[in-house]
Amino acid sequence: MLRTLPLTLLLFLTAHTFAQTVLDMESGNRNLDAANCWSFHSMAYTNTGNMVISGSFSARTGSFKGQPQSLVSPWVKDPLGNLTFRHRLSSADKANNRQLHVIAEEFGSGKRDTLYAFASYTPHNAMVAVDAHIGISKNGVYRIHFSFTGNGGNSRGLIDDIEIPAQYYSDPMNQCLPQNTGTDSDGDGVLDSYDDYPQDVTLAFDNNLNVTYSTLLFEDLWPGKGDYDFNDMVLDYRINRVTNASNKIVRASAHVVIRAVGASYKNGFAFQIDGLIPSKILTVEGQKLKGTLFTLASNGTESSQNAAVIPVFDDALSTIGYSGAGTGVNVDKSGASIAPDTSFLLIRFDTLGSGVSLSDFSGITFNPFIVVNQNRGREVHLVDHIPTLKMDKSLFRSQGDYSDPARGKYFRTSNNHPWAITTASSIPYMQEKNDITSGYLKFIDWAISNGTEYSDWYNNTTGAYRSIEKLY
Amino acid sequence: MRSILLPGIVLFLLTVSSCSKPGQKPDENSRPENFEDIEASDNFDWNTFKHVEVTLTGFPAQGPQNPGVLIIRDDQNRVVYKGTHTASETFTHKLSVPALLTAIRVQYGVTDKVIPIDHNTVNGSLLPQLPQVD
Repeated sequence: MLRTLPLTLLLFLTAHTFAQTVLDMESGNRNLDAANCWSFHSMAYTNTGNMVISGSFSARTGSFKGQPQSLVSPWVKDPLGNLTFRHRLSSADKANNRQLHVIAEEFGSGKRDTLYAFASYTPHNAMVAVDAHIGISKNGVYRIHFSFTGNGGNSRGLIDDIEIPAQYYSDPMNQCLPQNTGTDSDGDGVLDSYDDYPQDVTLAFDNNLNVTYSTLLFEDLWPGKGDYDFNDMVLDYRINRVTNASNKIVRASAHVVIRAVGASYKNGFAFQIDGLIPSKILTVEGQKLKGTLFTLASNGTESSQNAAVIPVFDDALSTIGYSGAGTGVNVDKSGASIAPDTSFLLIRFDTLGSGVSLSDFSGITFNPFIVVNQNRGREVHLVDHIPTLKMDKSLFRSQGDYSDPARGKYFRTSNNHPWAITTASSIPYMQEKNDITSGYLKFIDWAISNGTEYSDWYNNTTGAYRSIEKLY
Repeated sequence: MRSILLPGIVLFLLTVSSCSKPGQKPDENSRPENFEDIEASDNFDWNTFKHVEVTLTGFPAQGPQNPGVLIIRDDQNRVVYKGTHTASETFTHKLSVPALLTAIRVQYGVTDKVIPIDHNTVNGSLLPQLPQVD
């Protein structure tokens, strides 16, 4: 014990004596030093020859207009020793009018203590660098302001080689506040101010797949061509992926709203997460499955698939509560109208091992589809979205379908028409038997421009993009 | 004479044959009137979302080497990405955002800046962008 005490004492004194927070501007990159909690108020770096005090760069003020221009250090702890820096003006112009104040600001109280006041610039000494040495001894957390003042004239204030005899104590990842000032209630390493679930150590962030409800519009006669009203099934969906502090998805909530069914077919709906093996999903809750269209594995995904397929409902008409005659619901303003039905799915993911990242379940891998009229092999996906293993591939290249799986081309006609479209926000859909181009007046321009024009075709941006009477 | 005519005929034929390729925007007279008449390109994906490759270079940070929280927002300030990230590492991620979005807002530490989307890519850094000084 006696042997180790002097060594420990020496190490403590050494660390304390030499703790320095330094800014010599030699990064040449004000943005980098700002990221590390130096604040610049109308101050820049310069490497112009006659402005550099030492090395290749110094800090300079802008032109003087009466307002203070300052450089403020990060928070430092227990400053003790000599605060040193060098300063001068860039020219003699209005030298008598310039001043430099150095102030220590205490964290918490905001109390300010002037350490140095220099008002002795003259036309004769303005360009001679002053080596400042200021004794400082304080307990607590402080930051140092180096503040130039003046008015008019062309000369700039210059400063360089700042050395503060204190330990760097800012946290660049917490708005440059002093270290250990944030609260992390659940101890997951994410401060409460950033944590969407501050009381749950297993959860940290909401990551919405889509920030508002999106609409999915389907034609269900595939592989035959449809009537292009895209209302055989109309769904809104919104998916939130909740991640933990390691950026792995812990759970996802999916809201799926059946808005309209412009068909007599009993169509089901599911989505595949392309490339995600089914065992990465622990459980699925909230599915509305009454029949035998989908066979589930114990975790709620569809069985015998190589990627996770999550059935949502197996019959849109019965799910929305329609059992009447006719061909559909909520597609003809003079016909049947039923309140939309919302399914709420909760999907839990395996967080062990490599877990599931946001890239694994993203807007790229989300692959929604309908299953037509209880025929499990007859799926309708968005253009170029891969079918599931249960798809009847013999249907490709039949009737109106012009898919070319070898080229990754799926669910296209010979004119490259789709059977399904999704929009980035929730939109009104077409009334029965109305071509979508008659309701969305810029749709054709969008399509023939290859998507480069009118990418906002589904919004009513100018009030002239829609023909309201054709929409439901 | 023949040496002038032959290239002229070839040029004429090339011009005529290249007028109506699928995916090219026809002139107003041949604009489709309905969906059935649309001839789309086979590389048109009918997608109102786009996939944006985001690359943000990191920086050497002082202080505790805890990961910070990186937040990416859209033009209406809605969060499109939120996660922990270590300052010294380059952040890469593919975002799916509405095709009409032209820029993203990046927040990390003291950084809070808008970076444009250019050809479905965002290239930038995690450093702040301080205003110019005269």
